Amino acid sequence: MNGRTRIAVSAVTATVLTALCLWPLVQPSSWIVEAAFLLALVAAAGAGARRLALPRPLTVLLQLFVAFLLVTFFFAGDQAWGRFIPGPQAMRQLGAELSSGLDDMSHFSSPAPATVGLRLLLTLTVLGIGLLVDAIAVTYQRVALSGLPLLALYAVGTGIHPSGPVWFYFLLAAFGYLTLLTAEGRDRVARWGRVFHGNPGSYDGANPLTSSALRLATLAAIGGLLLPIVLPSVGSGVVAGLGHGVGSGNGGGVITAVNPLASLAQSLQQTTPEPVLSYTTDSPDPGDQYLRIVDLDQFNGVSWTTSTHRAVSLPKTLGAPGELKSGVPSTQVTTKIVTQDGYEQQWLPMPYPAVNLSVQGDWRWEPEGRTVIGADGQTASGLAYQVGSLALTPSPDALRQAAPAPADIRRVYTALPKNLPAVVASTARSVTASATDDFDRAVLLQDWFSVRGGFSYNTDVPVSDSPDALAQFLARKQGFCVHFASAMAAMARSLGIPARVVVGFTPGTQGTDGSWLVTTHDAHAWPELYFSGVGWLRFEPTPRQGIVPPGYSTQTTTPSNAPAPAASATAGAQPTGSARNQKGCSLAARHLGDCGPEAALGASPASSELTPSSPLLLAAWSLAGLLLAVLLAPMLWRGRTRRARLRRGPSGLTDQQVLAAWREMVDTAWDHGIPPNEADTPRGAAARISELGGLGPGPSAAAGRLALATEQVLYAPVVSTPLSLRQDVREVREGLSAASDRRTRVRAVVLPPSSSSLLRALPRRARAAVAGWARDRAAALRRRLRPRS
Amino acid sequence: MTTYDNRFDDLSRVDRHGSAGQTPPQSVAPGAGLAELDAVVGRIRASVESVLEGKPEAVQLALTVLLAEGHLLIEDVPGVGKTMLAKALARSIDCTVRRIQFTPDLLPSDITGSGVFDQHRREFEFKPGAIFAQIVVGDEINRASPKTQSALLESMEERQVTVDGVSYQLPAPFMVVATQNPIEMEGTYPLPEAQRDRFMARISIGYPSPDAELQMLDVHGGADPLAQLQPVAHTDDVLKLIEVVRKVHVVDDLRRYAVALVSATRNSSELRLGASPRATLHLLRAARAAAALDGREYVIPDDLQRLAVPVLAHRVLPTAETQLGRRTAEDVVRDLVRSVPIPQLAARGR
Repeated sequence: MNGRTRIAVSAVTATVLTALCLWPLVQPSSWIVEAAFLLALVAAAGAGARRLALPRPLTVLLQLFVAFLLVTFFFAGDQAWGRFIPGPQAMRQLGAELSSGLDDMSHFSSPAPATVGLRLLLTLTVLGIGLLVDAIAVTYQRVALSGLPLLALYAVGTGIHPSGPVWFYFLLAAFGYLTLLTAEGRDRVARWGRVFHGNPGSYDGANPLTSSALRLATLAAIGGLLLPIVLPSVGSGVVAGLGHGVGSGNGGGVITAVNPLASLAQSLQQTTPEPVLSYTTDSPDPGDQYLRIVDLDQFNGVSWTTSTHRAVSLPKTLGAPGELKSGVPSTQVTTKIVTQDGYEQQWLPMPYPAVNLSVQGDWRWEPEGRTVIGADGQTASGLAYQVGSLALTPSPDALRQAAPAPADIRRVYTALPKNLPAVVASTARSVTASATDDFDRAVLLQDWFSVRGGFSYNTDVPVSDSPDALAQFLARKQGFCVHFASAMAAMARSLGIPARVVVGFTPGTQGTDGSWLVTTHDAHAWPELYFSGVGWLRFEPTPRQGIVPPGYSTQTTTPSNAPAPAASATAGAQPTGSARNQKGCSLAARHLGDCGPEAALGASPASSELTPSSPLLLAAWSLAGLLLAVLLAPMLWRGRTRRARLRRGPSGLTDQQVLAAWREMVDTAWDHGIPPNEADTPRGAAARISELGGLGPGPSAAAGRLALATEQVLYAPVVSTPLSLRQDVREVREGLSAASDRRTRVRAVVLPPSSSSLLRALPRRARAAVAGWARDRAAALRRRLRPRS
Repeated sequence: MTTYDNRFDDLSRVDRHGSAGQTPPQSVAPGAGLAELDAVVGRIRASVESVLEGKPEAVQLALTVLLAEGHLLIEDVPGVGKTMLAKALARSIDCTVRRIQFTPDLLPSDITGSGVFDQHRREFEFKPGAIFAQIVVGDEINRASPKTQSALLESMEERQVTVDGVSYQLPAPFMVVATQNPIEMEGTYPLPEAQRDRFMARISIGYPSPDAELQMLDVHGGADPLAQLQPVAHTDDVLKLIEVVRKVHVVDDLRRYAVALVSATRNSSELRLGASPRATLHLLRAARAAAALDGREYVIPDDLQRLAVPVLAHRVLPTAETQLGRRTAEDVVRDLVRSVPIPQLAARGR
């Protein structure tokens, strides 16, 4: 087999191995064998064309033509002339199959049945990629570049994979690409002639080229697998979103996950509401019991996102909120929730405040937002769990007399961006001018949005993601539930009331059997405001049908003197009709989707100790930390080695200490740009260092003394070792450093070249460690197997 | 020796007569240490350098070979002092010295000696040849026929001569100092590999520096400086020094290094023929002598490195490609020395 043929075979292998990531998409997967066979034929055609020394573009054209004939034969053979040559009929059939395949693609969620259309589509994909790889790698001999089409195939394949990227397919694809590179490398080396192994006397060792390439490739593959664990943001988030987007049309079991804000819009957009969960509750007022998913506490003027909170392992009982005083009247409520299969939500919907929870799966507790988050890809799909919560009914009077919030709460939850339009704060002040305490202000704000302010749920709101979107909303008075929630939270903050936005579900609709059904259309967002002694309280600014403000905020005797009844009647009636206006909702939704926190919130939790917010930042930090550690490793290692080598002995120097001092000097010289030479004698090395390092007479003499001491230790029968060589080593170092330029000096400290010996020693140390371990195990085994006497 | 043949010059005879009444200096005490060695060698070196100015390396190497019980091959163009070095070395030591002028008509028996029929006693009597001396100066050795050259073989390696089935021991110390012109010169028979292998080291003297040449004109202008040379060391001294050299310490790592150096010549792609195991032996012996001459009682890798070219280069054969590349055997050996790692340093240097 000559080099080119080997590369061609490897190109086919690489494509097929990468195409295996499409395996789970269609059942049964026998189409892959078919596609591989076709690909092999196309590659053979290419090999034949190259042997005939056709021009390269012609070769590619010929391959295209062969691929076309083969596809015709396999998918429209009965319509084609002579089963191969496609006539108009065959073309029509192929077109029909292709469009049915495209239809199938949007209809079925994976694994889809292997319809002819889908098979044609997948075969065409594999053939196309394979042809491209063949053309790039073999015909145009740019093997490394052929990784790009392979990467595209892999990315698409794993992108629409139901369970996200699987390490196994990654390894297969990487292996395929490496096979291709290896074939090319062998070909290239072979063109230079017989490989010289350094020592022709011994041929027992592996080819050093191959072995080091193998080592590098293994390292790279392992790094590719392990790096995402270290980087929380590079999870399945983006990819998983893609998958859900495709599957929803069929109604075949994939439910769009309610991700905060962004996907909230998506779920409201669905033409038919999909059931998300059902629950039974013994709450005295089930209509007042919202299900929280996640809280958003950071506001940048455009969108609300979650900040970094520490998630801890799920405690046995969650306990009442720490800020809740015992005097607040509350009822213990038990809610049994059953989620639908395919509800891929990483937060657990729960009433607020949950005090105990019994749930299966790997969940984490985020105490500040009091949310429960799935770890390691745990989602709420198909779960049955029970939540004990408190139905709080604080008295308005107590809330009015609430002390100011603690400083740490205020610091986080009253923060506003500097570029927030002034109209937000001024409106908030004018609306609440009549109130004398925070609770009244909050109630006034809620009433203003939901009743008095003339806001409507009419959702033909022009899309805008500009920083003054909030001001526009206040001016147009039309918007979407998220608009209301964010506007009220922002205005509360401007008044100094701690506020955040919460995403979740309204109570849903009660069935005949008394259980409640929550659909995607019940997705909702609302603000929570903080009051000392009670904690976070829900408010409801959104004027939407079926939504009622919480009891404590309605039984108030507001000091308002506004003409409430008339206004509330009209305002309350107006949004009712358009409450479920899906089209309008989608506009707002898209707007919010754009500026929404989907990038941050969509990311999956990476490791067990996850943080629900800004994983990007965390990723950046951990990457920076890792980078710093890697960069600093040589310096730290070098410093440690130096200290160990120059450690002061009790009296006089042992042979080992002399040799250590010698090695230290050689390494110091290496750090200053004089690499060691294994064929150098001690004297020779000292002379070379003195000469190349431009040492003065003093340091030169010191180097000479080191060399003589080393020589004696190594070769003399009787050794008279000096008392100390530390001073000599230091003198040489100072001499070298004085004679070198600034760049060399800095490099000698920060990135000492001699630390590369650390890297070189790694495999040896690893081997030694493994061998030692194996020896110990074997010894232990022998001990155990030895007959007891 | 019944007839006087000017090809066989008994140099010691000149010495004996010339230095009548003068006793050679006090011989060193038994178990002479390095200090005594230094003193004796210093005298010999001064004596030799008085006639061969500006060539301390060549003199040092000649002394190294003497103390290492080897034979020396001096190869250079005519007139640079090859014979002068050989003769000066021979005369500085109070021992029997013979000089053989190799010519194409020289016969093997001229060198080894032969049996002569004694008319009176009616039996053969062995007449020793020119080789029976402690230092034999073979001048222009490559001008003799191969047959005669090979007569030197046995005597050089085994230090004995066998004539008519009887072996005759040669006196100790025994050293052959041969000079030869580069083989490209006219009228030469190149020494066979086997014979080259028997020489411990090959040196070339090279042209003197202008200053040294000028001084030479002054000194040599008047009289033959060789004639004024007096022996400065006794044979016993030399034997004791050889004993001292034999006791020089060599660690195992350096033995391994010597083996590695020599086997590198066998594995080199630039050489058609590598050095023999005898070369390893010679290299180590020469290194011992060099260490002793340096005042050390142990060998260091520098000794081996310094001697690698003189000891190894004349034994190896460069390939045709190497020769076409204008690289000599010396260049190849020098490069090998630079590339072979020193065992202990390489192992412990990590």
